[in-house]
This record gives sequence, C-alpha cells and structure tokens, in this order.
Amino acid sequence: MSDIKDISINDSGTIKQIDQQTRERRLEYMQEALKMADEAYEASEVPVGCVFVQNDRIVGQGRNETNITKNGSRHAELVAIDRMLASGSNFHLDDFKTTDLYVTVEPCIMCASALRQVGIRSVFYGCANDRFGGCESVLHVSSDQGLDGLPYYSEGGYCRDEAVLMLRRFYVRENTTAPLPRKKANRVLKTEDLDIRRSNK
Amino acid sequence: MGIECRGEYILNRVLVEEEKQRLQTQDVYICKISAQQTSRILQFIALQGTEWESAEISVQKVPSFPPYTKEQFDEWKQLWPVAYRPLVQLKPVQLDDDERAYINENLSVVSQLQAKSDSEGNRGSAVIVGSPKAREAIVQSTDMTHTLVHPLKHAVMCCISKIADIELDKKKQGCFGDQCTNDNTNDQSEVQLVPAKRAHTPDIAGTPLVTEQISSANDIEDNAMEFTSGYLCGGLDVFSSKEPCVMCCMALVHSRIGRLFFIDPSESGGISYYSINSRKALNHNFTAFQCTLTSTQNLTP
Repeated sequence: MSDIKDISINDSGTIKQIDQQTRERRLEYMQEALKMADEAYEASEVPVGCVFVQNDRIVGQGRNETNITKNGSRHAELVAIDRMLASGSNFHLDDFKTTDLYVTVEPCIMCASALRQVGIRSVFYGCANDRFGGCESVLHVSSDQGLDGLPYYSEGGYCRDEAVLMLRRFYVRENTTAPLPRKKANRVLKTEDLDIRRSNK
Repeated sequence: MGIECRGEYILNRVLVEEEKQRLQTQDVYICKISAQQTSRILQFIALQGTEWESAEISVQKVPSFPPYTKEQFDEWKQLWPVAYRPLVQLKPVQLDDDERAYINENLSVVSQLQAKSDSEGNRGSAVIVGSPKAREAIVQSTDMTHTLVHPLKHAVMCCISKIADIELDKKKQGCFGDQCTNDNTNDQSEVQLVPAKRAHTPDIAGTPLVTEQISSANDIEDNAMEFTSGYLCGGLDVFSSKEPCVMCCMALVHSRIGRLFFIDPSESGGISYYSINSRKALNHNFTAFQCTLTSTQNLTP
C-alpha cells in the first residue's frame, strides 16, 4: 500500500496525481465493496457495500442491514465498524488513522459523521448520494470545521456506474411483500447512460 | 424549373420575446473587488476593443446576504435585486397538562440518568424514547462509548437499536399467531420499498398520530411493544440530556422520529450546526425543542 501512502493533499485541497497502479488497486477494492453491495441486493436490502483497507489488506467489510434489523441506522459503514471494533478482533480504534474506506455510495450524513468520530484516514466512494450524502451532496460533514472527530479526505467516482446500476436494479424491483406493494410495471431498468466496463464478476 | 438557385441563405432565428427584452437591458458585468481582480477587470476591458472604451467601472457596495427584515429589503432593493421572505411564524406550543407532565417527567429522568452516568466517569448524554400517544417512556440508555469501548455507541444510537429489537420481537411473536400463517423466508424483504406514511409533525395538542396504529388502548399499559409505530421509530419522541451529535441527529431522521427534546445545546450538535431536523433536502423532518429548566419547568421551543 505504499502507493496510497503517497497521497498528499495540497493547500487548495486537491489531490496529487495518483499513478495508474494506485488507481487500479482502488478499483479492485471497490470491486470488493460491490460484492458486498450485491450481497445486500440478494438479501433485499438497499445495495450498498463497503470494505475497510489497512496496509493493503481488507480489515473490515459490511453491507446494509436496515431491513432485517428494522433499524434505519444499520448502514454498511456502521455494520463494518461494529464488527471491526467487536471484542476479540485484532483491530483497534487507533488503527482507523491508517485505514481507508471503500464504499459503493457516498456515505450519508450519519455515516460521514461516524467516520469522523472513529478517525478514518480517507474515504473513496462510487456514486454520489443526492438524498443523504454527507461528503459533498447534501452536507460537507467530512470537511466542515468544528464538528466532532477529525476531517478526512473523500473522493467519489470509483466504479460509479456499477454502483448506480446496482441501486437502479434494486429500485426497479417490485416488492410484493410490502404492506402496500407499489406497481412498478412501467419501470424499466435504464442502463444506456452507464458505462459498465468492469462488470466481469 | 423556373426558379433559379442564387445561393445560400443565412438563417437567423427570430428572437423570442424574452431574448428581446434581455437585449434592451444594458449589459452589466459585476464581480467582487480585490486588488488582484481590479487589474483583471482592466485587462478584460482592454480586450473588448473600441466599443468598451467608454465603459465605466464603479465600485458599489451591495449586500451579500438576503434581507432579514422588511426595512432591509426596502433599502437593499434599490441597489441590487434581492428577495425577501419573511420568517415563518411558528405557532406557539400548546401543551395540555398531561402532555406537559409527560415531557417534564422524561426530561427530569434523562437529567438524573446523565448525572448518574457522569458520576461513573462517562461523558455523553442520557436518552429516553417515548410514545406521544401513550405518553410513556419506551426505552432509555446512557452513553455507552466508555463501557463498550466504542466511540459510536452514543445513547441515541443505543436507543434506536433497542426500539429495533422490540420491533423484531414483535414480528417474531406475531409469526406464532394466526396472522402470519403464510410467513416465508422472504419475510426479511417485507420492508419498505413503499415509503411509509410520512411521519407528520405531531400536533402538539395531542391528536392521534397518523403513524400509530394502536387499535385498543386498554392493554398497552403492560406491553411496551404496542407503543411503537411498526416502522422504525416513526412518530416517537426522543428526550436527550444533551443535543445529539450530527451522526445521532441523522440517525433520528433515518428512524423517522416525531419530536426531539434536548436540554443542553452543543455548537457541534446536529441541530445547532446543520439544522438537520428541518432541512428540506432530507426526506424526513422532525420538530426539535431546546428545553430549559425553570422553577416551573416551562418548555421553550
């Protein structure tokens, strides 16, 4: 992971050019996060997944569990953090300082704050989250001054289209077991605007 | 053919009304002034050529924020197009004696819980989640970050988790009854692709909440499960000794609570810093009250 350690953010807040190898590696981790999102999809959860990476090793993973737990705060990031900090795990709170998060969708405001409070090093995500996003879309929890925890670097656009496709597949699906199933017969899965080159799972 | 083709025509679309009007207005270029920018403005004008030779540059002070009062609006609109939106007048909070007692009771309990927790070396807040319909507390928690050595186990998160467990129990019990005979493995996916009824801001006067579906009020006393809405923490009240942080406030949005009552405000809290309870961009809003203890324990919205 020496490449990722080379990230440095200059004064204007932009990231230095990263080399191709670093980018490839990030895309590989994002593929792992997408696998977690797929697991969520199969379990009828909103398909968002994530992996935490420290020293070039995946040290945590999670996916949405809001439906099965009936708890609206069980997002992928919090599920993974809980597992990582569970007793018996080798991972300690201090380790977050040298850990990066790869998550398929921009962390929501709640998770963005949680990531500050555990002290994450940086966050890479797939697509933006226009409804709840806490790193750029709705609020800038990741970088605003004076909030609990530490600000962190965040950057979207890694496997964006695959993350979007996964969400669209989920939202186009009819949920026959819902109390009031909504007819979605007219909904069509749109894919023509997406560029899925790496979907070779 | 008799018509001789004489060449190509240049086609100009006739301007639409809006464009015509815009052309009649004099062009005005505006920018913020700083030493560096002034030289850039001069450069820009130099590049425009002769028609700009007589252009005037002047420095005008204009308001950079929208007006908050009618007087400011009348003054500022002379200088600069500004929009004035009078502040929404919030209705004064009307509480009947029972509801006031319920709120006061829970606020004093969280205060006491907090004091006890502080004396044990914890630093966070104490929280109760209650039902406005039954006017009773459902679950409570103190900050568990110290006990569980986990920086995210704030009291709000612990309470949300307890309510979820109650809901899961309720589902489990229901499945042994008659209603759930065709329960199957897909049951996990029963959930909310269909948005739940928007947990509307509860009417403080105490009319029944839309989100609650308690059929018989007689047997709820002994069963905390009946108090919950069946969809996350839909429409419930949250009492907190401190203003919840950003994470907790957003968790309350995700959980669709109805009202938040907190005692000590915090600059970095989700309400003070971001007004998370009332942001239009978010899919759920709730009413928040900052509560100050007086001799008579009046609530101030």
